[in-house]
Amino acid sequence: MLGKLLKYELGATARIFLPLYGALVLVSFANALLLKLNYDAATIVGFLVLFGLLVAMAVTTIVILIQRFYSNLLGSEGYLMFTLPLGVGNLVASKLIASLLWIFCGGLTAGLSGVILLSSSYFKNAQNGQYMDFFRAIYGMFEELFGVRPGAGLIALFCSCCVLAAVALVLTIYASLSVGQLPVFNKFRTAASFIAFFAINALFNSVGSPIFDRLMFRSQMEYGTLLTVLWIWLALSAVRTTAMYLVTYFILKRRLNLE
Amino acid sequence: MDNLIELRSLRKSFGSVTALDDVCLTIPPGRIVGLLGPNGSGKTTTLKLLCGLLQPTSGEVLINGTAPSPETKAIVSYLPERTYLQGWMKVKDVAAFFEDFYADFDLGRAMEMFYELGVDANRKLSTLSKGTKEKVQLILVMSRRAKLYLLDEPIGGVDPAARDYIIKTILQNYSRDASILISTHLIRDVEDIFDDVVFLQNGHVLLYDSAAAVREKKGVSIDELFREVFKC
Repeated sequence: MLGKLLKYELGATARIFLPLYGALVLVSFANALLLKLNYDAATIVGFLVLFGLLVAMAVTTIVILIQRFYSNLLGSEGYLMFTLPLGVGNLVASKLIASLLWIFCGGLTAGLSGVILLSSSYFKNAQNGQYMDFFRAIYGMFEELFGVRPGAGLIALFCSCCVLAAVALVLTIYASLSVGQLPVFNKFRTAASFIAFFAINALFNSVGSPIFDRLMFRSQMEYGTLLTVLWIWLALSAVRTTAMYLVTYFILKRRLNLE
Repeated sequence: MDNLIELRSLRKSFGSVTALDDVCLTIPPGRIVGLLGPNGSGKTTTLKLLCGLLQPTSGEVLINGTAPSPETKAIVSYLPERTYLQGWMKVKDVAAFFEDFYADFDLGRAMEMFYELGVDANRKLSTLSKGTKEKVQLILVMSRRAKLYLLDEPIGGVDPAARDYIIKTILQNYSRDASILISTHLIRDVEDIFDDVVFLQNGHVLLYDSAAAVREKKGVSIDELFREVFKC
């Protein structure tokens, strides 16, 4: 059932995202060409368009993430979705997986756009054709700071932190929207959702911030401290993910209040 | 299983407003039941509780002996009083959606009915009129071989000519061991198909009897009785 839900969820969202990604890649190629031809004025316009598209992609990702949950589950379409013969967990999971996939694809497209620009002869000439130097520089900086080279384990830990933080953020948005639809907030659903979102963030920040402050800014940053920070970040994200999923699940299962 | 639907001391309140109060009702399989009452009497709330969109404040809702769950949703076909389909989808896409999720959906029958009612299956839903969207929804809902159909104002938005076709559609499509619960204001148009009627008033069951018995005892049609009972 989850697979079928995902099929329709991706179908509903791909028609918006794929053209946007296509436009971003095309504009990146156009910019690479303009750089090669040394048309300065046109290059500035090209970069403005590219920047605009990147902002549009980020905003669209957030808006679609909210809109798919709000209108497809909490609006009129919810009358169909919640009478399908499947559990609430499947509905939430399908929205979450699709959202994460688009966040990932958005990041990948932005990265691809960067590679296309760096591949243009302009940057190749400027950096003697070695744009991979960028990554070497980061490695070098890390080694200088911590005295060791970042290994696969650290990179895996860092990536896990990023993924789990994204999951926690998406679920916080879902939980906030679910809180906003409770009968008690009937007259100000949107405002209640916003307040819930900021209140939840404030709550988790009040727990996390003092720990991170003490570890990162009040002592000499060492490799061991960095690992501790990442593990705490991972643990907090895991707690937040679990809590937000349970809030969303409970409200949609027991306190659903469709418009 | 004796009863398809069993409502036990069912109560539903929204804050200080009580929508249903101590409702007890049992409906066996194979009945077409008219759920009748003025606005705000609790008809839609009853249907929403039966399909699991709402949870009771107290009391019990049982379908085939179990509380609303994915298992009961697989045998309940629900038509809400609003458009619940996604506008960007084509008519044939939503039919495929129903086929994907409901094991009892008959795609061939749905396509046949779209053709008979002149609905172009290649049209996007956002380009259809409100009445046509309602026809599409009703066709989808009635193309399931469900055990229980919950129809909330099924003919409210369609023209009188299509009404006859829709009522015929409902009668032709349900199997004899299934029950249909129809909530409507347009009693005169559908009362002939009712086996039983339930009158709801302010969240209470005022009357529950067979349509024939009501007509015989009161000497009037269901529509006339409704107008008499709920006279403003």
